[in-house]
Parts: sequence; C-alpha cells; structure tokens
Amino acid sequence: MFLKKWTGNLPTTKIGEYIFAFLFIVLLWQLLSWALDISALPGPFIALKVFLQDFYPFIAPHFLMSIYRVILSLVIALLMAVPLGLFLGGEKKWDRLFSPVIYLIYPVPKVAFLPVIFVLAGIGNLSKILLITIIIFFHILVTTRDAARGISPRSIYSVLSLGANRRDVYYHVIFPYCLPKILTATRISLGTAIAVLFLSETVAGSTGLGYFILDSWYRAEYAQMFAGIISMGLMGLLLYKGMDLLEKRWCHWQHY
Amino acid sequence: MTEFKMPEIELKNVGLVYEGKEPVEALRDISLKIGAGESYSFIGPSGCGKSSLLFLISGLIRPTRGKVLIKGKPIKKPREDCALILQDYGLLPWKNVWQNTVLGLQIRKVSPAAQKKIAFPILEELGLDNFLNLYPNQLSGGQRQRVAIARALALKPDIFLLDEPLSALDALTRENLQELILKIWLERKITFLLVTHNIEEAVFLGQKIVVFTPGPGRILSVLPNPEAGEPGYRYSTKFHRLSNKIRNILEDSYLVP
Repeated sequence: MFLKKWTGNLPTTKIGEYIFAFLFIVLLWQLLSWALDISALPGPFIALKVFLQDFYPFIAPHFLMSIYRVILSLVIALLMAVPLGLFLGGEKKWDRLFSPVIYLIYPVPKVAFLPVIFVLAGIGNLSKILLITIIIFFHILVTTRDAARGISPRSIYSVLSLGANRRDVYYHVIFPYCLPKILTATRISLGTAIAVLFLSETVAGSTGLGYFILDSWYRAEYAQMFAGIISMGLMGLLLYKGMDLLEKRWCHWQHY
Repeated sequence: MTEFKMPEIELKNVGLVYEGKEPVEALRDISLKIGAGESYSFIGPSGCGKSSLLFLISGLIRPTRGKVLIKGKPIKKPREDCALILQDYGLLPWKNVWQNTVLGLQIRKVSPAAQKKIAFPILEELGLDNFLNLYPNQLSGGQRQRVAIARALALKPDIFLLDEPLSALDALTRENLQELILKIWLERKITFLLVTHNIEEAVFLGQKIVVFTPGPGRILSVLPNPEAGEPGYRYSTKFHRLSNKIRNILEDSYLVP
C-alpha cells in the first residue's frame, strides 16, 4: 500500500531517485579515496566544495563553451543526416548506390582524422564541431536509414490510397515513424559526442571543460580537476534530460 | 432496346506477376464487370491474390497483363473516389482519432473548418465522438476499424475496398461491424468490394460472391446472392445453404490442384 502510494507519486520519486544515486556515488567515491589515500583522488567533499566555489566565474565559461559545441554539432548532424537517411531508406535505388560508400566510411574511427581536421580547420571551435558532427552524422544516418527501410509497405499503401503524394508520405508516415528511433540514436551518440569533445579539447585549444580538466591536472590541482569532471557529468545529465524531454514532447503517442 | 450501362469497375483478362528473384504469379486471367452500387465479396484461400486485386483496383499497383477500367477509363494512379481499408496498419499510431480521420482531407488540402464540417458528423454516426483525442493503441480493435471506416467515408468515395477489415476482431465485435458496414452500403449506395476469408461474412455482405482458386488466383465461380442486406438474412436457411455451398467449393478447390 505504502510502496504503491510512494511509487505512484512520480515527480518526487524521480528526484528522490537522483538524490539516492548521488549519495551512493559520493559514498563510493569517499571510500575509494580513503582506501587509495593518494593526492590524485581527493575526497568528494573537497571536490564539491571547489566545484561550488569555482563554478562561477572559473568553470562556467568552459562549461558553456563545451555544451555549445556539443549542441551545435548535434543540430548540424541531425539536419544533415535525418533528411538523407529518410531519403535513402525510402528510395531503394539511391540506397543501393550510396550504401557501399557509407559502409566503407562508417567503421573507420573518425577520431583518426583528428590531426587532418586540425590542420584543415585550425585548432579553434570549427575543428572540434566538425569532428563531433562527422561522428554523430554517421550514427544518425545509418539508424535513420535502417528505420525508414523497416516501414511496412502496407502502411504506406493506406496513406497513398488517401491520395498522398511522395512528400505527404514522408511527412505523415516515414518521418514520424522514424522519429523515436532517431532520438534514441541521438541519445546514444551523445555519449560518443562528449567523449570526442573531451579528446578534442585536450589535444588543442584553451577553452572547454576538457581543457579545464587537463590544465588542472598539469597544475596538480586535483580538487579543481574533479570539479571539472563533476561539471562534465552535469553537462551530460543536462543533455540527456533535454533529450528525454524532447522525446516525451514529440513522441508522446508512444507512452500510452 | 436494352439500356447500355457502363460498369463501374471492369477487369479485362487481368494478370499480375510480382517481379523479383523468383517472380510470383498472383493473379491469372481475371475478367469481371461490377456495376455501380453493387456489393461483391471475394473469398478464397490465403495467398490467392485477393488483396492484390484490391490494390489493382485502387491504383496502387498496375497489372502485368490486361486492363483495369474504372468508369470506362484505365487507372494510372490512386483514385480520389476510391477508399481502401486494410486489416491492419491503416491508422497511423502517432495521430489521434481526429487526426487520423481527417488525414485524407488534410492531404487533399481541405480547410480545417471544412474538415470539421465533414468529419464530425461521421465520427458521431460511428460513435467515436468521445474518443477524438485518443491514440490508436488506446482503442479496441473494433474502435480502430471504425476510425478507418470514418477516415474512408470522410472522402465521400464511390468505391469502397475492404481488405479483410474484420479478421482480427472477436466474433461479437465482428458481427457488430458487419451490420455497420451493411448499413453504410445500404444508405450510401457505394460500390463495395470486400475481401475476406470468412464465409459467413462473404455471404452476409456480398450480393455476388467471387470464389478464387489457390494462387495464382483465378475466378473459380461467381455466385449470386441477391438477398444480401435483407433484414434477418443471417438467420435464414438460404444463408446457411449458400454458406455450405461455398464451403464445399472451397474444400474441393484445395483437393484439385
């Protein structure tokens, strides 16, 4: 009875779950820090204290820069990959032409192009956004195309019989059908995007959380380094939650 | 002088082969004349090309051989006055009852105000006016098929093509919807073509019953059934006699290749 009442109350439970998870991680961290007893792993409370003290004005600019890079890359990648993926999934002839090209490029780790991209696009924002965009682009392209291929021809027939043209079919059937899968692919790509972001920010430049973390490390400011790592976690959490929100808004029909 | 009346739908020696690595012959040498306002049931074993026949008439696919004429003209693309209802997949899960119902009107660029004027009375007639904001997976199978019917009716079709519309439903819902379909046919004088594998349904709804052979589908026989649509027909001896006759024809067609 009590449990049902408790779990039925979703919003508080959600926040409760997060608080519980947070405390759990803090506890693990503290235990690990005590056990290892090295300066490179300070306790969670010192790190949190530095995080709260330094976030504004020291970490915030890096935080904003990093989140800006990830979001911009995501948006560009989605804008390019989704229409192309839908098109290739819907038009068999073009797909046959392009899929060998995609399959040749897709498995190559695009991070390997990092030096080339730095040479071509400089070490500023452009190269980092370019790299993340390319990586996410292929994820979303392949997922979208595969999703679009999976539509039953009968569901397209039923809309065609209502007088739909090709554009109507994309708008009313193919795109909404693929949208949940596109959002899932985006959520999965987000993890990769953040990892690549970190890498590209540590290799060159003087902005972003990746730079901040590495810089703190060079200066042996371990508490500050962990404050940077906490910020990175926070950024990931915000982005994932943002994706959840979009999914609930755009695909609410799935949740009935 | 006999009055010449052009058939609403005419099939002339229609053959259909699905291309592919191993081509599949779905239909062979189908010839049929269907008058305006008539109701036809198509029955036969699964895979005999009955559904393909509806796709041909709706203009979604083209025959490999022969001609499909509607009102005397060959069809080149899906026709405006032809509504197709499928057993499944007909409704889009991401649109609610209202959005699904007006989809055809929306595609034909009918203004939202006119959409309301056309669709709302139909939804009321089919008892769906309290479910406008629900999504297909919140509805029962019977309600879903009603929405599909509403969407088709909203386009004021002359020809209604139903591809096993009721085969996923339980017996009671099924009879209920059969009555509804019959009422629609009687009131609106639409040409009705129903594909089914249920013998009683074919006899209940079709003025003529076309029996197909196993694939490639050919017409085995066309049985007249003028009493279809009369009140109480379902419980008459004629109804059962005809049902049994069709059952025998179908059983024989399985034995003789």
